Amino acid sequence: MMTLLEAAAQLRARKVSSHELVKESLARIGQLNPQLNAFLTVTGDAALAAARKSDEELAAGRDRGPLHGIPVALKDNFYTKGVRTTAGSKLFADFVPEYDSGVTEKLCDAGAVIVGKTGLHELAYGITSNNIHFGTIRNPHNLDCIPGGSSGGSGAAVQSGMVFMAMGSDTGGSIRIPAAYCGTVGLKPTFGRVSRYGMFPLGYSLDHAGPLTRTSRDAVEALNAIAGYDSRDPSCSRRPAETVRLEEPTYVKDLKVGVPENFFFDRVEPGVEQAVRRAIARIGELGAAVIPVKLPDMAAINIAGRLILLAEASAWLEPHHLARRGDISPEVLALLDQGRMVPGTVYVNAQRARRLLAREFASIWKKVDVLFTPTIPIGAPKIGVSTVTLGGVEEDTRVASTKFVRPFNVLGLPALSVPCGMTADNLPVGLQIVGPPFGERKVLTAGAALELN
Amino acid sequence: MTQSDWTHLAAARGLRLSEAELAKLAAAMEALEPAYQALAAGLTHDTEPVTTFGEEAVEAR
Repeated sequence: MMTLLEAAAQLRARKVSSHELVKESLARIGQLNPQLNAFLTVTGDAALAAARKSDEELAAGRDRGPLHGIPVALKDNFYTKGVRTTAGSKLFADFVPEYDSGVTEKLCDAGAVIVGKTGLHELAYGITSNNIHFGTIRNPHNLDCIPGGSSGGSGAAVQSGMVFMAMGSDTGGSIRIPAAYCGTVGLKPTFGRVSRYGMFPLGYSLDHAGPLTRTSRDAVEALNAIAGYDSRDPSCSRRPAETVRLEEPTYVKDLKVGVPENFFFDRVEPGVEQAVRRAIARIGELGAAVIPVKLPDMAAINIAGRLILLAEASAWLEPHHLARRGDISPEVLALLDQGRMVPGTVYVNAQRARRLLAREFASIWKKVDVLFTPTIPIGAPKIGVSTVTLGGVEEDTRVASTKFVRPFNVLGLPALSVPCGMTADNLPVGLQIVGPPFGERKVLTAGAALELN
Repeated sequence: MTQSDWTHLAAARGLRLSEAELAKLAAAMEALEPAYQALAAGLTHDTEPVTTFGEEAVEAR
């Protein structure tokens, strides 16, 4: 399966046209979507027309960059002008935006060809993508397993070769979880690096937008296309947009890799731990310094994140929550009910604790450049399985899936999931690489180094 | 959260729930209670909330 950068090189060498790439993408969607249910909407005619335009532009010497002419997809919570955008919810089943999201605009400016909208967990509020309104999304590695969520359609679409890149959103791990379960790369950038304008919210202070791709180098190009200040998103960083460039070959000899001594390896499936430990050993063999580090109370960061999300999600959904209960699944309804019970004092105290914990965590970056952790302690669960036993302790699969990823939404740090092996059940394992604020280059460098080696 | 009468609290918040739904809600909220209390206990009066979670908060200055 070609990577985005390989397809971009072939386009420029005139070995393939954008029209051919898009036709192939649409054919693959047609062939695989009945099984995977990765796409909610396919915009075939518009995509073919855009591909023809891309070919004309490239032939005329107007090159918009690596994404020019490349078929991509958007999670169905990014607004697309004139194209239905559901957020995976019956509440918005017929919603057709009058404008594009900031990310949609930037991808179109970069010449990417949007072939459709991918399915997701209802309202992006969950990790299975088992959507009662729009159907179950399945994991391409094993159709009996969940693809993870909430960006499950994007993970399945990229892994199965339907598109080269698909956008996801991540409030408590929703890019990195499907990336790990499906075996793709998933990047949650630093909070504020990518505009959320025109993206359905879930938790205003936790929401991030980012790409799922086949390689870290592809993620670099996607990030370069979508990052940058947008005055329409009040949380967007005013930092000048920095184009990330990785060295060739990737050089990690100066990189200090932190390996947590606490929390992240406490209860992990043996196959996951082995794969992650192998990746840590490999980055050491490549010349990076591997340094054990003691992290602040990650469980406390998770609790702060859960309380903040409960309150923020229930706040924005308040008008729908009480008036249209019948149009919301019992699972999401239970979370919205819980959020309605969180007092204002608790929300404020969780945000106070967040500041304290972020300050404590910042000291880590004086010792290391990046952290390596498992993305998730388990391989993809079977569809319908709601608990997992780890180290003799039964855990809700939602908690197990989010506990290693949610902290970095709370802290707003860049975090990448890259495939690093397979479990005994032949399911992908994700390695999470976390960096300091706006340290995407470091995490992507580490990811790219492991992919090349 | 030092709340306990979930039936009345839910009703006050406009939630009309069955007994089974109430039991589930109470269990979920009570499970959060000890962790929240521990979190709140570590706060000092000069710790301000992250009211606008922007660059300043991410960089923990």
